[in-house]
Amino acid sequence: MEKKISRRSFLKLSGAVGTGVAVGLSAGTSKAKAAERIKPKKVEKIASVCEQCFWRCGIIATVEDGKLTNIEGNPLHPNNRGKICARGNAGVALVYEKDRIKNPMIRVGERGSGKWKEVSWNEALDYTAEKLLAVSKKYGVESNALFSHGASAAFINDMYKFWGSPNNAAPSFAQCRGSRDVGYELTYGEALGSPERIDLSNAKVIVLIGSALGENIHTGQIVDFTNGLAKGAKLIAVDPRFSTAASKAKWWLPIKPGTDTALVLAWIHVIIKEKGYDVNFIRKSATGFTELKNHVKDFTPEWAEKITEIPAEKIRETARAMMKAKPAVVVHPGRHVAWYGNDVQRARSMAILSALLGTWGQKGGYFLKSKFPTSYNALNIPDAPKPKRERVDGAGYRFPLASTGEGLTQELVKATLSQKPYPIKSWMVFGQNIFNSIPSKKDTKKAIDNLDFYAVVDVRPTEPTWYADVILPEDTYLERYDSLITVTGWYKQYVSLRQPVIKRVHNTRPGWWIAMELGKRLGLKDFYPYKDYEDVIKFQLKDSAISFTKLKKDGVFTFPATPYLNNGESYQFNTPNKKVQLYSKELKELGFDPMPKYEPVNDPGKGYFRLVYGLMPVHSHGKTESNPWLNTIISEPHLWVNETTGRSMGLKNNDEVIVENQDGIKSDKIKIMMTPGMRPDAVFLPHGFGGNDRGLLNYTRRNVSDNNLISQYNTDPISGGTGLRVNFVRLIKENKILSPTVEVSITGVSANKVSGIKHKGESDRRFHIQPKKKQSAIREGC
Amino acid sequence: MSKYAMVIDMDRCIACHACEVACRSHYDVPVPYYRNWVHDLQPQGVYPDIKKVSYVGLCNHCDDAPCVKACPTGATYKRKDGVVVVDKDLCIGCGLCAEACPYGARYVNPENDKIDKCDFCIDRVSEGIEPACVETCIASARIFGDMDDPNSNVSKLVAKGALPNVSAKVNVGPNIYYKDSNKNFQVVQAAFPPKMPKMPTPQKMWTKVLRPLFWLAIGGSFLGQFAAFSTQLFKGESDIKE
Amino acid sequence: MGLRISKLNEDIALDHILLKGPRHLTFDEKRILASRVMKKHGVGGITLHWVNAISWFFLILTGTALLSASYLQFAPDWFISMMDGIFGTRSAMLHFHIAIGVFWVLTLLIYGIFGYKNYLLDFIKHDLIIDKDDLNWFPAKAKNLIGKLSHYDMPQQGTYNAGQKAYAIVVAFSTVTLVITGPIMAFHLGSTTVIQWAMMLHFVATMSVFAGVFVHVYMAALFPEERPAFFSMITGKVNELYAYLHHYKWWKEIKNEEHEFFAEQLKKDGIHLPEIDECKNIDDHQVKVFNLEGKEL
Repeated sequence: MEKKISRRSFLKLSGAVGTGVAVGLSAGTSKAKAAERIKPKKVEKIASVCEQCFWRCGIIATVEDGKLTNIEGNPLHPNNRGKICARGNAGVALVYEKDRIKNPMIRVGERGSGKWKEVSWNEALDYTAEKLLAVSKKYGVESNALFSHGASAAFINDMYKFWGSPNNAAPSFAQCRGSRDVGYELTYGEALGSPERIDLSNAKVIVLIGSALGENIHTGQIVDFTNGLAKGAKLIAVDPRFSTAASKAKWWLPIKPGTDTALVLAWIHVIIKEKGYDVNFIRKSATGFTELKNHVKDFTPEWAEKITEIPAEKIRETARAMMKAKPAVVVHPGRHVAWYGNDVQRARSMAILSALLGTWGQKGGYFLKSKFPTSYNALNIPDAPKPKRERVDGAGYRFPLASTGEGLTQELVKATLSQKPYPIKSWMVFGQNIFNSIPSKKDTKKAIDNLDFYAVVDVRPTEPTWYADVILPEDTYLERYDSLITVTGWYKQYVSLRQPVIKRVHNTRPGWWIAMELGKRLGLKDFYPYKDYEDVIKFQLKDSAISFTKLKKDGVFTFPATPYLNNGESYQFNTPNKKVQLYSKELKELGFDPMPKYEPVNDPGKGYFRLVYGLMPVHSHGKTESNPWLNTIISEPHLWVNETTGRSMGLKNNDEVIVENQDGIKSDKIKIMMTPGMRPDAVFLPHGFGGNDRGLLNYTRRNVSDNNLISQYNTDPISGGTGLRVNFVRLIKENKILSPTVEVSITGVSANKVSGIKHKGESDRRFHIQPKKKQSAIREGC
Repeated sequence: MSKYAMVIDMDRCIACHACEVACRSHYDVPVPYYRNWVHDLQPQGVYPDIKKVSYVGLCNHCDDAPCVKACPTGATYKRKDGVVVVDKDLCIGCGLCAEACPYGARYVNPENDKIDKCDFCIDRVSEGIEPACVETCIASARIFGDMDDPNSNVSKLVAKGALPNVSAKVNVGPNIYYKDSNKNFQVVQAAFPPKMPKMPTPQKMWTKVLRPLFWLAIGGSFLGQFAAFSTQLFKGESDIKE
Repeated sequence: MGLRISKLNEDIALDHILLKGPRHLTFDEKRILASRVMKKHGVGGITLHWVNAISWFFLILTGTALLSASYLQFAPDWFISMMDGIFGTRSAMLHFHIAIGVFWVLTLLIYGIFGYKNYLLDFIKHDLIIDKDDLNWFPAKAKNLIGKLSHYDMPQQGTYNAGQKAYAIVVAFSTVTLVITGPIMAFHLGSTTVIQWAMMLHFVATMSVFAGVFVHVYMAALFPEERPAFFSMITGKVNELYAYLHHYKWWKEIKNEEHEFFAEQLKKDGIHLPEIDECKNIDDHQVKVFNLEGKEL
């Protein structure tokens, strides 16, 4: 059989060779090349400020060919010193989060139907202004209320002020640190600020009451905290839960929730009795010592033991450690202190404790604010008008010591519901998740029904956006300017600049622009003599000691600070007699206890646990639940349950239960974590999850929200701050209500049972008393 | 020459997970995979002796790396400075190295079907910058350095008693050490011991059975033919005519 | 195809006698057969064989050099170092291996698709299908090699003997395996489990062929009796004596075809070519052959 030798076969062969070589060379590298990091043409490193929480660390953003690829800490920033936490690192993922609100929207269906139409900014702003003016016309400008939070909220706050409405509220006071600032102001004449002026890195003893540092992460504070511990600082962690802080502590005091004040009073008792206080400091700089000494004479450790379940000898031991280490003792004032509605008095007791230890202005104690060596130019704008009507939330009068800068969110909600003293008919919610932060969520939802107009400004489609009439999407913090961040209470004074690191990714706008454009449409153009906020900053710094160019390049400008008192120097406190008020005349005049007493809170009923909540190092409230880089680490919270108690209920680790509170509000299924590191009378649920954010399509949501279960709250009569840890829950598994069959005491000491306490309510409010001193205008911080 | 190593200071570490996110950010590690990890253990023990610890881990750049011994193309190899790297040009994504790793430090990146893992940030280290995880660590709990330099921080910490995660059965010379003054490391080791390097079934069949058989067969056939050939030479060539 | 008019009467007679065989040959018969040539392989087949061989050579060379990890390593360290030196980078070695592999697969595919009947089916029919004679060949060959059995008493073999067929079967299975597993490994066509199994089968297939290649080379090239086989892979031709002695069934097949072809042609001219059975020995046979014009040759 003959076969033709053909040109064809040669061609085929050579074709095969050629293809083979080509394919072979590219084999395995084609897909690799596609995913390989092609060297970017342009790499920029731009300094800015983080806003994943409210500590505002300095960051350096790496931008490659216009795309944000990395965030690192700014080594020049004196607060975080080149470090940045998990959330800060994950800011990159936030910018490119799939579910970000990309365009202004106006609703076209019923409120809550989720039907929207995308509109231009002009249309959205015109619509918003029109609606606001309508409310203004019909009910008065004060009937427009604002809920705001975050650095960029400063602009909208101002706008409402310029417009003439006094009704604004941020959760940072009533749901967070308001009560502690009031307590410290009453004692020292000033609060410890944010960032807190606590000298952790030089402390010899650190006292944390709650304040689970290590799970609540403020980068610069944790740098100091870990440095202090590494240098040998002894930690006293007072917490019903074995937190990360407790794991670093020399003493973990698993205190019965609600009894912290009794513990602190017992410490004060020991310190005074054993003469372990700073005699000099008390003599020179404090008043009311005799009254205090008399006040605490019965508050013995034995007395406290029966309340707190902490053995008396541990109370003595820890008090003595503090005495020995003074003045290098940091009593952390707390951050979120909105626990029981008696929180101002607890803060007072902690402030008094620190005063006895003489820590003010001392190394390892509380350090001083410094005097800012330069000043900024002020814009030439008219004064804000005085509102014709009082604000409805009672800040400044019903609650004389509450901050009018931050207001009282829950009171604003109540006023909107009751329409008293006058109707509130519009809400603008700016950068605040009102369903996640304000307790009694159903009230908040119901209040919206009373509104003629409800607008939301946010970055992600959180639950509050679902009911809005108009949604205005804001730039992320990485895409915008904000006002200068000036801090005078730190080891170095500094001013940092938040500037855009990339061009905005969607059709969003910065807070300053939204406020300006809205303001102009409301007739406030005189208050906005600028077009670009960068020009404002340049103007502010023009005659100051700060070079804008250098600030733009470095992200931060620092000045030396004077954090400590000189030897023998006495501090002039901002109190009537320039001294620390161990005994508070002001409180007495307002009708409250001039020295803190232990005010008991109800125990959970049979089969119920107190719901305690807190933070995780990987998440920031509800802001980061949908961040893919963070929810790959923790995608849902675990409920901490005492191991012995759990076993007696037939539970195993990782079992799924439903949590039901005293009002019958139920959660979705949630996994439990059984541990000996949790008090048997409480369960702990990490905060921030489970918002019913129906706009978050790329993230699986479940109702495991702590705030959903916080349907009851107390109100601190002194500050107006809320007490949120007064809800009780029981566990349900497969439709069966579980009940523990054992009584466990972790420490071996049992406390007296407490129940049926009537909490101070509205009737105890004194409306007509005006405070003698100015309340703090807390502008820094959250 | 250098021998790079890292010490995790468990006394300082607060398990904030910043290191995990910084690494992911630097190297575009796709979710849910990871180059480094912090595995949180729940608080355990008996009051008052309760421990809350986390296993902070990454590639150990082992001295006797089982992954290097398992790579069919030699894509993964140990550099002279001790860093075990993956040459992406050579990697075919077979995953044998990942199965061999006692620490679970490797993953197949679905974006390019190749193995990826920690490389001690050699691109940063070569420019004198600390690895990303070290730089971001808020608690300054990660220390990177050269074990060949007796004055480096890592050498000093190891001399003071920082220990690697090895077990009686598995000790492949890891270069990640753990400083711990509170008996926490043993809890981590109990929960996350190094696993015996695993060889998947097909490779086990090859290494243990088939490869020796083929050696025998080839050797045998070669010898056989050589014997026949010599016999031929000896006998002289036989004719066709018989 | 032209008529083989130059064929001698004797040749035809010999063919017919031998077609009844096989049997021991006389010296003359051997001489006649040895001088005649038969075409065993066409250019296409030859090309394919050598392309295959060269590809295999480079593939095994680079493949075993790539496999350097101690858990999997097959070649000795000095060999791997030498190959590393030749190629410079391992990446180059891998890419070369894949390039040759792709080239090889494409060549096979071209032959397999465009030459489906002439190459693929032909190969299967003659080289892969085993019959009873093939099975009996192995013990027979063993006895033959030690001198205990003569050629003529061995079972008749076809185009390729059983030994060749055995190797061809190994090569065929290996080829199929490699054509599948090679791309899986080179282009990541599957999960890691798939690639791990593919890898093992790849090694097994390769080494199976490699294990047999020494025998194949020796028996086909170096072994003097098989010398004609070696040359047939270059020229394509073997002498008829070799074919008659070693591949009788193939020789017979070709001869039968030729006989039928001649018979057809001669019938048209009115000449009757005796049936094979009609001849007893060379002298019995008288055949007159005429060309197309009628002239007696």
